[in-house]
Amino acid sequence: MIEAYLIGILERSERLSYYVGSRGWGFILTWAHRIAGLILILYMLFHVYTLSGLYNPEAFASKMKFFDNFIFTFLEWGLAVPVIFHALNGTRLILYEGFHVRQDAVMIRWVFVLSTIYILTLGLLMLIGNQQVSAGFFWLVVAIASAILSTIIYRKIWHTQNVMLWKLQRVSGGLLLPLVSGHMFFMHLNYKAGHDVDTIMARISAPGMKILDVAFVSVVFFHAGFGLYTVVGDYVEHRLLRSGLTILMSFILGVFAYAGVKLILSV
Amino acid sequence: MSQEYDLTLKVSRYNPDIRRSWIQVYRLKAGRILRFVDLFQKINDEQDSTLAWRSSCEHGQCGTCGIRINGKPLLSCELLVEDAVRLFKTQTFTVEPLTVAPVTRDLVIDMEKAYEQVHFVKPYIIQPAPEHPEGDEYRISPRELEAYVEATRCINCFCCVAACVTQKNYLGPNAVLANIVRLMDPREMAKQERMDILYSEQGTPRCRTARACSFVCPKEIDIAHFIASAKEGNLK
Repeated sequence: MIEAYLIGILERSERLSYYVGSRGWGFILTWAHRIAGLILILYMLFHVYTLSGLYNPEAFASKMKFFDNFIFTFLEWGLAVPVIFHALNGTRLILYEGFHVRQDAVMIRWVFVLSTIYILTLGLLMLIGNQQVSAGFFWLVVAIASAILSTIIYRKIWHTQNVMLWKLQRVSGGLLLPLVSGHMFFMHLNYKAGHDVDTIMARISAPGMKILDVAFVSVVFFHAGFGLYTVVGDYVEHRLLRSGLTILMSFILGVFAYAGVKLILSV
Repeated sequence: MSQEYDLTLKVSRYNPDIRRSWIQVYRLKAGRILRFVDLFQKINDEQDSTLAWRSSCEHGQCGTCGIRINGKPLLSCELLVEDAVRLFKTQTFTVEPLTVAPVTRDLVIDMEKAYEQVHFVKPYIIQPAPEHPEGDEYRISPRELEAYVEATRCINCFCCVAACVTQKNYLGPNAVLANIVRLMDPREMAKQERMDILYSEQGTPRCRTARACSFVCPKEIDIAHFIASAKEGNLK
């Protein structure tokens, strides 16, 4: 009943119902995956820029005060939509392309159901705002989950003749699913985790966290870079222009990735 | 039941002599079991003899009459008026050529151009397996055939190519499928050459698994399944 109601709402959009009717839901989800990915890349660059303020903790604290209002809190929550959708839809694609899971209509429903559960749970955590968990334990669990997931994908697809970067994109996706969704959760378990300078500094100063964060930043920037490369390749026919755009994108993402890693290692 | 529909067809027209494109509206009455190719013929006979369109067998076997109705790529010889009214919930239809090759006139596209990608994958057995020692024909076991017989039904109507998310730098679903069919064919010995084409930059890496190809295929081939099987390394 809920599904029929939601589809009824979506059908009111002429553009959306045109593509659903002529190409199917998978087509819409592919576009949504791309748009979500682009939003996340832009946010990632903004995130690294904002966190670079940690070189001067006092300035960073005053900057955080600027973001301490309902609108930015709501936007932070809203960011969970592209994050979890991109992660779960990517999982659906990996299952379809690598694990022979062909019940795509069922998987699409699961993407929506699990995304909704995640978003609502995150919203609830943000409202409560006082949950405590051992950072070491939380990140150990997340790291183990990432390692297991990426190993499963690696073992399944690495022997195939697909190009190396294509395979790495899937393996990195497996690493990022627990890391990114876990990161968002952890940052909103309580208010201080994501906003208080001392708490943030204490967390990223821990040696174990440094290793995990460096790996996180490296993998996330690779994943973003290859994602952009494939999108450019889907649209730009001119080989020289494609190469130029690839170099430009690699440079920009490389600079931000370097800035992120440098920040983690130096604070 | 002799129900008649008042149809409005908004047809994309193109005159190559003056290089002019426009939308022409035709209004006509049609019975429920007329097909869209019949509607075009009716327009030719009763209203406008200059409307150009393509068809050949008119039985969904040759893939010549692929067009887009309300955006959906399909065979105009297979779509009945009553099905179209039910499917699109309207009696007004936009009729456009497929987007896979330049339009030569009205609903007709340059099929030679469209076929370039199919020819590129060599849709034939490149290197046949040795003949049977007793001079018998090469036999394919039913079990082997079952794995890919569905894919052999492709008629290269290019509906999948028109529906695909990836419109550039990609061989296209039908050409990739043609390659997969020969790869799964036990009579083909040039497996590595086929693999090289399949996993090249213009091959499977360009497929985004949007499954629009399977969604529109008039022959109901699950093209996305075959391409995904190639990515899985599971073409047996």
